[in-house]
Amino acid sequence: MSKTTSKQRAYRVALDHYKSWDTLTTVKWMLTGLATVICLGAVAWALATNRGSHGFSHGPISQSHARWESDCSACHDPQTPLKQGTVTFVSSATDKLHRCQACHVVSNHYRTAADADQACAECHREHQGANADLLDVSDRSCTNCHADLTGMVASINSDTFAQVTAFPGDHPPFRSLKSANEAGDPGNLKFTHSRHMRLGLTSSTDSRESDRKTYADFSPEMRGRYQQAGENDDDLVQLQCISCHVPAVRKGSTNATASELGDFAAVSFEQHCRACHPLYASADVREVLPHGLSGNEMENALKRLYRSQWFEDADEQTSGELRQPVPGRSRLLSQRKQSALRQIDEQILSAREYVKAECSECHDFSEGLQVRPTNVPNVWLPKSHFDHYAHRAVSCQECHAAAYASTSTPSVLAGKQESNRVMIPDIASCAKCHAPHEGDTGGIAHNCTLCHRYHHGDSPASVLPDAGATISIDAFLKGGRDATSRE
Amino acid sequence: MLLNRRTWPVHRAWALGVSALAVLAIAGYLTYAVSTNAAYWPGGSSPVGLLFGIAGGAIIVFEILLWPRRWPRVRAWRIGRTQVWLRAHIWLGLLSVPLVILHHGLAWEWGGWLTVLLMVFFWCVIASGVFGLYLQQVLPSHMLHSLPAESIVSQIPNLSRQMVAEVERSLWDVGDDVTGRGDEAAEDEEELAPQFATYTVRSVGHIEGKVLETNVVKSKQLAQRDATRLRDAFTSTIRPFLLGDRKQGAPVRTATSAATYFATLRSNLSEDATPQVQLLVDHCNTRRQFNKQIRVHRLLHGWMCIHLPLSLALLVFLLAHIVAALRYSGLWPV
Repeated sequence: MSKTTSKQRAYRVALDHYKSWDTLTTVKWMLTGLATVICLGAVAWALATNRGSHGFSHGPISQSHARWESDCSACHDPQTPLKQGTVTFVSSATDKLHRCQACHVVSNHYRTAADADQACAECHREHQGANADLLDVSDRSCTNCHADLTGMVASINSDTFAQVTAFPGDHPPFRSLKSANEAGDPGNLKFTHSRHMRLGLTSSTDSRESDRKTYADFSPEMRGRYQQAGENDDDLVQLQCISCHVPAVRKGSTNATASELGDFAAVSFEQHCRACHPLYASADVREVLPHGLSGNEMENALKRLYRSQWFEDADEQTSGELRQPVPGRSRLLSQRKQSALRQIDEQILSAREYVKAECSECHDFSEGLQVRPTNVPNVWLPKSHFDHYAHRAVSCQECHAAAYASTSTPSVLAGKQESNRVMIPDIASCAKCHAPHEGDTGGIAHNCTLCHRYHHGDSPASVLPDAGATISIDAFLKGGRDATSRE
Repeated sequence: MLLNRRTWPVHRAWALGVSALAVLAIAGYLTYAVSTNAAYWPGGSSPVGLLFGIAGGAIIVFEILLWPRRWPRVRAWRIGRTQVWLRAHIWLGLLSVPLVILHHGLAWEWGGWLTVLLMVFFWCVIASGVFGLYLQQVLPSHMLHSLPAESIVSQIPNLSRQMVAEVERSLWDVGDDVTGRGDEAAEDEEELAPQFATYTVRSVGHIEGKVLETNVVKSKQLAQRDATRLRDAFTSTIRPFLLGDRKQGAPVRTATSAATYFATLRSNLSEDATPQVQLLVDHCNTRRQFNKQIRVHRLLHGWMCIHLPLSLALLVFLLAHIVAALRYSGLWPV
């Protein structure tokens, strides 16, 4: 046996050992090759098929558009982004897509913003998930222009909304309230909220007992409208806000949307006033007159009422002769007729004064019995939408304190004076909650779209398309791409 | 690539640079988000999101370039030192994390299946990379101290066969006079004595490493009885164990069971057989270290079986993502 040399020991390890792969290396490269092939196949499949193409989407689209989840070309054209203003390589404005308008007809927000109105995706972000709210538009979308409107509109009224960057911040006062506070309530109705909110509907806290109204003063069919649970007929009347201001859609309506519940129906004389203001013809004639007549109509109504009443009261012979004159007795008839007409006219004149006095409790007259239009705004903040339903948890008095009877005030303001007060809260009242969180205030949403709508502009109904602009179901399901199917 | 107190000075600049860039990116993103007053965090299509997307994508592509950089032909180009490449691989890889997070806009929704897979692969690649980096910190030093017999894994079967041959020489030379040389062998005892290699760790200054030592089995002629017993033990248990048979080699598979086994064997042999027994003990110990090395090797390099395939998958989906993004942003040719 020969001794092992150092050189021999060095060759214990094969010098070309690195040329062969061990199992681990083989597995590594097999997995690498497999992964690469599978991924390339998946990408090729996605490019080749509609089913796979939505894999390239950067997020699920909203439920409203779920139909086109896998049909990118329903909204996209290659090389043309929907989104303007962020990253765009589009060379001309003509490339902007109007695909949305195949189904959505929108009115322009403002004449100079018409171009921006077409770039739907600039404000309505898709691919944010199935439950994303497309109407949740960022303030940035609004302040892009409204932060400095002077650059957008040449003849801007600079004291109103030229520069608005945030709410409350530099948001101007509500314009409709500003003009109402300066010129007074545009309405011609003499209505005192405080009197109607006072217990017993009295004019002051120290009114006589006899002046106070109880539920027994109402007709039985009217009591249920105002009487609260647990109140008896002998209890003094205590009105609530909701006694007159009721949602446009009644509570409990299964089809009512929150928006509908948030809008109040207009106050109606028949439903909300008649119980206390029955509108009799006179103190003696307890005949109820209709409400809402013009001056002439009211005059005629009184004539008809008193003439028919005279005939009912007159003896049968006289009334019969007047209705069917007997030949040969015309002179006598004429005298009796004249006398009757004079009597009726006197009654009408008396009733006219009585009615005028009754109406003047709430109305002014332009001439005769013709009342001036009430001119009460249906919407006090026409440029925004206030949702009462969303604020239902808060006491009405928090925002409309002036509408309530104050115990510290000895007597109610004179009707016209108080009725001339605008009881809509100003911007400061909103900003108590709708502002950035600071100390004990703010912290509730205060974005632009909370109150304002964009496309509706001054004509909310303009979102309804013209009959000629509608499309068939087939065209709709194709994303509105089949232009020939327009009806 | 070690990341410890001793190597920290060379990593410090990278760490500070990457941290500064990450902070800068986050600050820029937040500033943009606040300035736009947007309802959503800026996404990938916003200017800032696109910028981070491009940066993150470029880093991912660069990270994968480490693989072709190891190809012999590419290495011949000598583009940067390997150490620099590795440091860049680690630190830029970590920088890609905040960039990618900012690119997708802190959104919980990750998009369609392609972008979801892209994100899943990204996080898996990052996780496997960090895991691999951790293993690189722990296992090599562990192997240095606990596996002095460490060798090239692919050569372990070859080395095991050499050990078997060494033992066979030592056992069959000391029993019957198989060579027929008689007393002549005793005269050349020193010269012809069987030799075997053992491994040990030596340190010179800060440098520490393993060395191969050659030892001589100074043996005497064994009695027939001892030689037979040694050969039986070797043939039945030790030889299979050295050649990797876990079942037959079970009695010496662990250090504890081996100690018991060899104590029993020694008790049945005379003093003269001690060198041969010690040789068997040393070789079994070496083989046990080989076994452990194989396990550690699988762990130390096995993570690459996840990291590399996922990296390639990530690259494929990243390219598809870029194509899709360009396709709908107007840069892609008709």
